[in-house]
Amino acid sequence: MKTRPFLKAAAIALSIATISGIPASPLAATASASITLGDENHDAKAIKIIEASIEALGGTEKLESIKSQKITGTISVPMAGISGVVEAYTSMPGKFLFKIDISGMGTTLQGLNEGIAWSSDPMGGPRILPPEEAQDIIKEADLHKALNFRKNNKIIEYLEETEFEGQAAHKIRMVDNNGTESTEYYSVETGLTLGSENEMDSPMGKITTTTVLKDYKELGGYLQPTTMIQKMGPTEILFTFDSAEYNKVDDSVFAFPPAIEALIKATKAKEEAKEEAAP
Amino acid sequence: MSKHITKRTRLGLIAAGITIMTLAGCTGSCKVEKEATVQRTVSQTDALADFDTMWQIIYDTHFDPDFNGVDWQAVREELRPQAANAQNRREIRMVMNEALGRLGQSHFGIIPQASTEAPTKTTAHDNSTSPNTSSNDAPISNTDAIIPDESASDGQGDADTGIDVRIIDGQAVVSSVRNDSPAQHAGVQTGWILAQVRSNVIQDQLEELAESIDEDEIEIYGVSMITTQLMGPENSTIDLTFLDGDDNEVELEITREPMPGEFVKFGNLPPMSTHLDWSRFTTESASGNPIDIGVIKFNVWMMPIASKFEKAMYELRDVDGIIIDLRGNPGGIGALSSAISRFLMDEKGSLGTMKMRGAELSFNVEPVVVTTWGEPIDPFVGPIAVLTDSGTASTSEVFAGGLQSLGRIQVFGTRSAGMALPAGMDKLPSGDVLLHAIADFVTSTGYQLEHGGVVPDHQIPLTREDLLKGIDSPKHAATQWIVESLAKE
Repeated sequence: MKTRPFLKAAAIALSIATISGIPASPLAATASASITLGDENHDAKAIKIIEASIEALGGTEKLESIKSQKITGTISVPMAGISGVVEAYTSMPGKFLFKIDISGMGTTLQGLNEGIAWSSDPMGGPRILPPEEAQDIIKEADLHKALNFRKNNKIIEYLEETEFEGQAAHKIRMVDNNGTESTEYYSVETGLTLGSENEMDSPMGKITTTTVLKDYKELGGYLQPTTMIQKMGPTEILFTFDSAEYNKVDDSVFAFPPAIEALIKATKAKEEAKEEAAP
Repeated sequence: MSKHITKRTRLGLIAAGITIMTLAGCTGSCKVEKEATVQRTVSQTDALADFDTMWQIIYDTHFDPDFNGVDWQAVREELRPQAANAQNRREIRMVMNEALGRLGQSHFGIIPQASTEAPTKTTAHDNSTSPNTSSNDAPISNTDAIIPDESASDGQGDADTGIDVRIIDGQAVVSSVRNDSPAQHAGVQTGWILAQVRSNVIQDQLEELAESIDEDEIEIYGVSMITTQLMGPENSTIDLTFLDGDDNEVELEITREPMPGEFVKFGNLPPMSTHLDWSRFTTESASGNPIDIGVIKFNVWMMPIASKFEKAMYELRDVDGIIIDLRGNPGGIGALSSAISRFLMDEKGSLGTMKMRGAELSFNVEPVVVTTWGEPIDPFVGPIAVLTDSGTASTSEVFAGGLQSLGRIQVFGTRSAGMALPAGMDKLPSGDVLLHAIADFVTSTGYQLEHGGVVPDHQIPLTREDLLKGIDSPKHAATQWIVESLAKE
């Protein structure tokens, strides 16, 4: 569950891939029967499974010791034949930077600092993210969100035992405090997270993705998936992670790039001008 | 192979930036490869690996679960035995293209592995090393591969003469001559008719081509055929015969030079020369006031265009109107259409929706606030005219059609290609690339660009008469419209 920070970044990559009209992969629509539950409705069986997944990763105390992380790896979009390198930095509280360098395309950045979520890429240019997109990044910047699952979700519901990517899995539905719904799959055998189905906001509208997590290995002393496949429609994006460092991230990496600083300044100036013009 | 099938496959490849050498007919001495004795150079296992992979990818990813009304399973059953009997990669490609052609849509085709590799610095003296000259690994459309003996290097390199041609009244007419190009230095003028390339008579080639395609498609395929012949290795020479304004023959030997801009390799797409030109000129309103108009023209939608367009818009931020010339632009990276549009819209909007199987993506546009180098800039709010023709395809159509549906631009020229399906490019086991559409695209008004194309608000074809006078009729009309729009304001 620690690797969730990449989910949003993968969404960025999806929009990158969409480029030439490149994207790809069928999402087997898993419309499980929707059961409406009230707030604070947490299913005991589901809670037990999630707690087991935290134990499988090393336990609450170990995960709580993480205050910052840096993870590096590669990204590829087979359907487009593009590939590159990724770096992700997170620091508690509320700092996040994701960087993708793709050959022939350039560098894509997405970050969170001083409460401002932003992105910058060769196509979209510098952007301050609107609240609906920022919300996802703020969540990803919380390294302890997996531990705080009770607090963060108003509905946690066990659905069924099923198969996910060829493995027996517990299927659990979650609705967070913002109303965003996701479906999580936990391995019956190991207790580890196998993946999820999520709806998220992207620059290209709301998208539904299926994320597959696999090849769990120790990186930097912590067990985590080293392969993540994100699927949307017919598109697949493959991430592989090869190194991780914990509690060594320098906050300077989260500094706003000059174009974002200029954008923040310009946006503030426009807002002030509007306020002055208002009757 | 039916005429229709071959046609749609060619459409897809043109949209992917693949020029089609073998559409060029041949008069004079030719080698007809198909008549040569062919030795088997691939195993049945390898042949079927490509065919089966191709079939499965289409099965899994085609945006229409009904495959545009085609029984895709039956296609497999019919053509798989032919794939198994293929003797070489060229034959396998022919079978796969036959299958893909049955879908009757753009953006389906096989791109030979050699075409997708980094550009070879082929020169006039070493064209024998060109990867495309192998008989068993010839370009995809070599179903009738014919290579003129005396012009073996034609179509094999990355250099050109600087001439653009368009088919006007059934003849190949020079529509533009690039500044500082070999053709300009040789004295070629717009409006001249290109009569012969070496000993090949263009009129004969066009007539031959017309037999295999529909009448309304002669423009796009004719231009592709001629453009390919005009390309070749750097410093190679080519003999061209023109008819000038008085229809007198003008024979010129022109030495090819590299195209301007940079060669870009993106993913599995073939390397492409990418260049953007911008300029400004001043005209007058009816009341005699000066009106500044910016003109931006680029050849393909590849990544370098994003920063070049931004710089052009920055330099042109004080003009009164803008003309964007997309004639002959075959497309490229789809999302660049939104990226470019953010300089042209002062309100959020969507160019349209990409409809995949199981997902939709909106090509949203968010107006620019600052440049990538951090300088505040406002989107351009003056009148914008976009020029299109039958060579305007794919991402160019998404851009022009999307902005047209939003009422932001007026389109001048002739109808675009109608080849606007977003596509993926998967590698097959052999290394060849499968270009395959994965989505339909509709604009914000629900207009489907595939087949329909962008229909100009002002239908203004090029005429030879105007070109001989140095007048680009669609651009002239666009200029007039900008002047009139400003007068109304």
